[in-house]
Amino acid sequence: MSKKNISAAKQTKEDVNLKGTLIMVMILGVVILVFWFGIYGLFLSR
Amino acid sequence: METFKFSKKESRLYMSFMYVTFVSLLVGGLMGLLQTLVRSGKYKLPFNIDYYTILTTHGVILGLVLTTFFIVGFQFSLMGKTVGISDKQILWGWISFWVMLVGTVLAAWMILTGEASVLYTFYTPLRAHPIFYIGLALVIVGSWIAAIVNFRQLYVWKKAHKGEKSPLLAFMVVINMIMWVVASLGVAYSVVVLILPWSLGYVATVNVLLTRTLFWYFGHPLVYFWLLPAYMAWYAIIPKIIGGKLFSDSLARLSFILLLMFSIPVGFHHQLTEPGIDPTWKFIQVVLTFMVVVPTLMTAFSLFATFEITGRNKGHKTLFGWFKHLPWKDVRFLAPFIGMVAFIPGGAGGIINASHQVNSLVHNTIWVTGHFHLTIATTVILTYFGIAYWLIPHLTGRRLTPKLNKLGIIQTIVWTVGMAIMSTSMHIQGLLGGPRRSSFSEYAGGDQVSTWISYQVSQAVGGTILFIGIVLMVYIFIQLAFFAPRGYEDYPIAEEDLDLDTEKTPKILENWYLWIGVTIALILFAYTIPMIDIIKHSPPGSIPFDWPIGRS
Amino acid sequence: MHLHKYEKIWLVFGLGSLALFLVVIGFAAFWKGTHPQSHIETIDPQNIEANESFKPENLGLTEVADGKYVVNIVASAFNYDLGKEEDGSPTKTIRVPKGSTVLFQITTRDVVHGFQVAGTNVNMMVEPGHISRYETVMKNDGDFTIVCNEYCGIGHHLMFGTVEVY
Repeated sequence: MSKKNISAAKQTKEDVNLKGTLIMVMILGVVILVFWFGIYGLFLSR
Repeated sequence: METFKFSKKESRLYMSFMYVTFVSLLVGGLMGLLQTLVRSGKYKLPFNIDYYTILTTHGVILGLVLTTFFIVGFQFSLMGKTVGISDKQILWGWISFWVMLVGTVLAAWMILTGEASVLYTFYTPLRAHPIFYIGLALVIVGSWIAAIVNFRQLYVWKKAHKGEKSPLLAFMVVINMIMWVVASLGVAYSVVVLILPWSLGYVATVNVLLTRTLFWYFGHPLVYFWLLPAYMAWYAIIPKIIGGKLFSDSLARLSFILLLMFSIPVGFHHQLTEPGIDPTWKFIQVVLTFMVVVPTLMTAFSLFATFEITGRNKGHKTLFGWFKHLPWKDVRFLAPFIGMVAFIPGGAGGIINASHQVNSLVHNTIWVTGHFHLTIATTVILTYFGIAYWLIPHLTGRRLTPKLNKLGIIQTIVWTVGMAIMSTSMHIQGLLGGPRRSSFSEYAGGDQVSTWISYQVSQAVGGTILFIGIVLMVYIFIQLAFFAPRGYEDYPIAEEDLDLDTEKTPKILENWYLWIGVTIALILFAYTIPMIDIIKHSPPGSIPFDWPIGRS
Repeated sequence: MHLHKYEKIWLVFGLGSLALFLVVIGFAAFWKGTHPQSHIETIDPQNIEANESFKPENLGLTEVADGKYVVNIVASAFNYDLGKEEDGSPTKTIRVPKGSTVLFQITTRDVVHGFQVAGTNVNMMVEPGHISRYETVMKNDGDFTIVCNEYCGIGHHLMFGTVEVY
C-alpha cells in the first residue's frame, strides 16, 4: 500500500460519526460523578 | 458461509465444563433463594440446616466453582477455535477438568456436612476441616493445568506462524490466564503453606492478617478473572452477532494489558478498615485501583462505537437510530447488553467502595452484596448466558430455535427484574447500615432494624424471581444440550475492520516479557513494604477455633 | 495506535473525574486526617487483659474530658462486652450526648469480628492480635445499632448493642 492510501484510509477513520457514542459515554460519566458525590455527601453527614 | 465445527473429542471436553457450570447454577441458586427467604424472617430452614452452611455453599459454588468451570471451558473453546488444540493438549484438558472436579467434590462434601462453614473467604482463625482446604487447592491446581495448556497452545501456533500477530481472542485468553496464575499463587501459598499445616495441627498458630492479605491479593484479580471472559465476548463476539466488525484490534489488546497490570496490586481496597495496615499504603493501592478503571472506560467507548458504526453502516443515519435498530430480539445480544448496562451502576459502586475512608460507610454492609450481584451476578453471568445460547448448541450440534431464543429473552427479563429489586434494596439497606453475611436477626430491635427487615423482605421477592430465572436457564441449557433440533449454530467471532482500522497492531503489544515484567514490578511496588511491615509487626499468632462454626 | 477524537475527550473526562475523586479523598486523608482506621498496634489475643484499656473494670463508656468519651470493648464469639451496669448486669446500651467526641477502642479474644455502629462511619475490622480504634463526633441523635458485620460463626447475627445519642 502506498503512503497516500494509508493517509486516505486514516481520514475515513476520523470521519466516522461517533456523536451518539460520545453522548452515551458522557451520560455514563455523569452517572458516576453524581453517584460518587452523593455518597461522599452522605459520608460527610455522618 | 464456512461452517466451522469442533471435532467430537474437542466438543466433549468443552461440554464437560458446561455441565458442571449449570449444575452449579442450580445448586448455588437454590442456596441463594433459601438465604433471602431466611433473611425475610418469615421462613426457617428445615432439618436443622444452618444458615451459614447454605451461605458458604452459595459463595463457593457460584463464586469459585461455576465461574472457574465456565471460564476454563469457554477459554478452551476459544483457543481450540482460534489456534487449535492437539490430542495431547486435550488429554491435559481432561486432567485439569478431573483435578478441578475432585477438588470441588471434596470441598462440597466438607461444606455440606457442616465441617467448613467458613464462607468462601475462609478467614482464619476459624478452622474448617483440612479436606476443605485440600479441595480448594485442587480446584486452583486444576485451573493452572488449564492455563499451562492454553500457554502451550498459543506457543505452538506462534511457532507455526512466525511474524504473525496472535489471534485476538487467544491473546485475551492468555492475558486472563497469566493474571490468574500470578494472583492465585498468593492464595495457594496461604492455603498450602500457612493454613493447611495449621488446620492439621502441625503448626500451633497462624498469622491472621497475613492470610487475609494473601487472600485479597488473590481476591480482587479473582473478580477480573470472571470479568475478562465477558470482555472477550463484548469486544470480539458481540460485534459479529450484531453484524459488525471489531472497533479496534490494538485498543482491545491495550485494554487487556492494562487490566493485567492493574488488577493485582489493588487488594488493600478490600482491607481498608483493617487495623494492621499502614494507611499510606492503603491509599497507594487506592490510586492503583482507580487506574484499573481506565481500561473499562476505554471498553465502554469501544462498545458504543461498535454499535454506532455498525448501525450507521446499515443505513441508520440519525443520532440514535443505530441504537434503536440493535438486534433486541436476539438473546445472544440482549443478555450481554443488559450485562453491560448493569456495569454502569456496578462500576460506579465499585469506585465508591474503593474510595479509602468513604469505604467505612459501606464496608461489610449488604451494599457490598448488592454491588457484586450487579457486577458478577448480572454483568458477568448474563454475558456467560449470552455465550451459552450459541456455544452449547455449537458444541452439541443443535440449534438455538426461535422458541428457545424467545424463552431466553424472557429469562433475561426475569433476571433483570429480579436483580433490580434485590440489588437495589441491598444497596439501600447497606447505606442504612444493614450488615452482610448475617442470618435473620432483630438485634436490639428498634426502628433501624425494622427498616432493614422491610428491605430484606423485598430482597426475598427479588430472590424468588431470580430463582425462577435460574430454573428457566437450566431448562434452556438442558434443551440446548439434549433436545433442541439437530443443526448448525454459528460460533461468532468478529473480524477486523480493515477499512477503518488500518493501522497495524503495534508489535510491542505482544511483548510478553515486558507486560509480565511491569505487572510483577507493580505488585512488588504495592506489596513489598507493607508485607514486610505486616510480618515485622505481627502479634502472637492465633490458635485455631472450631466451635464457633459448629464443629466439635 | 490511533484514538478517535471523541475517545480522547472521553478519556480526559474520565481520567479527570478519577483524579478529582482522588484529590478529594487524598485531601481528606492526608490534610484532615480522616484515614480509615489503621493503628498497627498489637496485643496478645490470649492475654488481652494485660492491656490497661481491656481490663474488665475499664470496659464500657468513660468520660475523659468535657464532651470527650472513650468506649472500650472486647469482642468474642458471640458477644460485645461493653462493661457492666451498676447493678452488675452487662451493659447493652452506650449513651452519649449529641456532638460529643467518642473514641471506640476494641479488640477480640478469639476470631475476626466486624465492629460497626450502623448509621455512623464507625466501621472497622477487629482481628486477633490487633487493637482497632476509631474516633468520631456523634453529629446526629438517635439509636444506632451495634452489629458484628464480619462472619464469626453460627451465632454471628446475635452480637449486638446500641449507641444512644441524645
